[in-house]
Amino acid sequence: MSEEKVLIFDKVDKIIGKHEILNDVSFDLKKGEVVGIIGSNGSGKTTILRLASGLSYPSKGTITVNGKVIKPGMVGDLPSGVGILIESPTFMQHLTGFDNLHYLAKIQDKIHKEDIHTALRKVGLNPNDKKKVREYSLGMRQRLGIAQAIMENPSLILFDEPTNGLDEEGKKLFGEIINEYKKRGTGFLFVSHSREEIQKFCDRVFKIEDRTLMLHKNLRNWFIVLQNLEDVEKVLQLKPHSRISERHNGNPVIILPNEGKEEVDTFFQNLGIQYQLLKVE
Amino acid sequence: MLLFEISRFIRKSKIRIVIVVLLLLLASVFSKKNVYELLRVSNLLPDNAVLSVPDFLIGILNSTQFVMYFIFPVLFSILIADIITADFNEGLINFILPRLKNRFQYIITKCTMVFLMSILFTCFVVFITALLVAVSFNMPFNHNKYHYIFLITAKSGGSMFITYMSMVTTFIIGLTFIGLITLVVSFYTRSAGVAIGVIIILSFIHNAFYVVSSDLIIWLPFSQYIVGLHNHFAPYGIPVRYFTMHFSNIYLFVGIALMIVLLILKIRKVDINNVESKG
Repeated sequence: MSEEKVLIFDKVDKIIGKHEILNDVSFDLKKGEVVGIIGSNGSGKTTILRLASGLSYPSKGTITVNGKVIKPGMVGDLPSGVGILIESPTFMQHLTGFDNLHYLAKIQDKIHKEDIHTALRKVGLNPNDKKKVREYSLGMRQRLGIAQAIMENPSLILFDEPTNGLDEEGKKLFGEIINEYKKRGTGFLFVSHSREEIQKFCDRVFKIEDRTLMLHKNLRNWFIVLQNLEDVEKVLQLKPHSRISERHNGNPVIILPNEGKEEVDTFFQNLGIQYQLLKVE
Repeated sequence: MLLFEISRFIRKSKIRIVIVVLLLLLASVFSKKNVYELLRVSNLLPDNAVLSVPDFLIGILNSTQFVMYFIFPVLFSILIADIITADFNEGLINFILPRLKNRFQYIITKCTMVFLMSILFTCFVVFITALLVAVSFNMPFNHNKYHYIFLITAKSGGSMFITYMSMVTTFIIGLTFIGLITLVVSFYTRSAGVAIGVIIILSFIHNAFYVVSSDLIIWLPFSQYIVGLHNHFAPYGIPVRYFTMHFSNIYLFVGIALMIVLLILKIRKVDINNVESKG
């Protein structure tokens, strides 16, 4: 992950009509980093994506994308190098998936048909499928939406409820895309109402509470190897939500769900038992 | 982005284009009789005179009341009224804007589309429907010309070719202005239907002023693109001294600039959301 920042929100307020949607929101996103934002419906998650993509401008504060401050200015400045999938993707219903992307690619005219084919294959869609988008299932539309967001190799990708409608295979392909693009230095910003859905992809997770953004410890499932069953019992008594997993090299393994790294370390140090981190999911 | 817009428009509006062309064809058939009657009541046609193609073409572009005040503006507004609102309603704006450098580029592309559509519409009117009707009714191409524009241009020593080119150019610019009015109304109200409604109401207002022969009609937008209505062609045109082509050119260019400014002002800061949201 590079230290170069692709997105900076600095004390951003957003007021629509008389309603304050966001208040004093600050965060940044580095190259190759995946940041998630969770919050309930109507909490302002999608507004953050709209602000980052120039579909909306902040009422106060500044937003910088790829070094460019996004403000109305004289001509309504827009960020460059941004791919976006926002809300339920709507396409030109009477066209095939490939034709839709081909039309959209004409706007910038910087990629070829082969690039569109590649993007479609990455999300598990057949580029030669003659099916019209109106015949697509929700999951296929979501895949197409992801393909349109990645096809021009943007440096920042914004996803709203990215796994919405995706089946297990789709989620797996989505994870592969994230890993591939992260390696290239692409930054990702996800928003979702479901922490479980996005936390496995994210390096950092924020939560919207009371119109502002707070760092939410990156909560994951920690697979911990313990020495004996007595230790497992101790942990289960103190952490009733933990689960027992398959043994590792004969030693018992326990899964601590939704914990931050610091909390895990502190917990075992206070407990005074030996442990070894096996993996994080 | 223009390539995207053109291909998308053609793909999306095929049926609408066909309907508009058919209606233009009907209007041309109607205009054949209308032009003839107009010249006859103006005592410009001798008995048993035959209407020629040049008279017919000039006549269509100067058929004030029904055709130029109603049919053309309304059909043109139907053709282009939703080129912005459809992006919002269909959610495609979310895919289009992040691919542009700025929002000004979006609006200028839409304005360019209106201009291109006005050229296309003029081609439909002049080269397809009118000529089709002329050929279908066996109108002669070379024959005596009776339209007052021919008579007055010849009398003043002007070139008929230049007059005709000026007529077509003014028609294109006038349609562009009408199209931009439609876009402004549809964008500000977020409804293509309201915009078409406004154009229909404007058509009625023009007709009302025309019927009562009010000189105030020279200030109305649809009067500017009818060359034969200008003072130069009085007594058939409106005998107001300053109602010249120069006046209309300034009117149209200022009007077009104003509409573009209104569109830019709206797009510059508006929160892009679905059609119901407020900017």
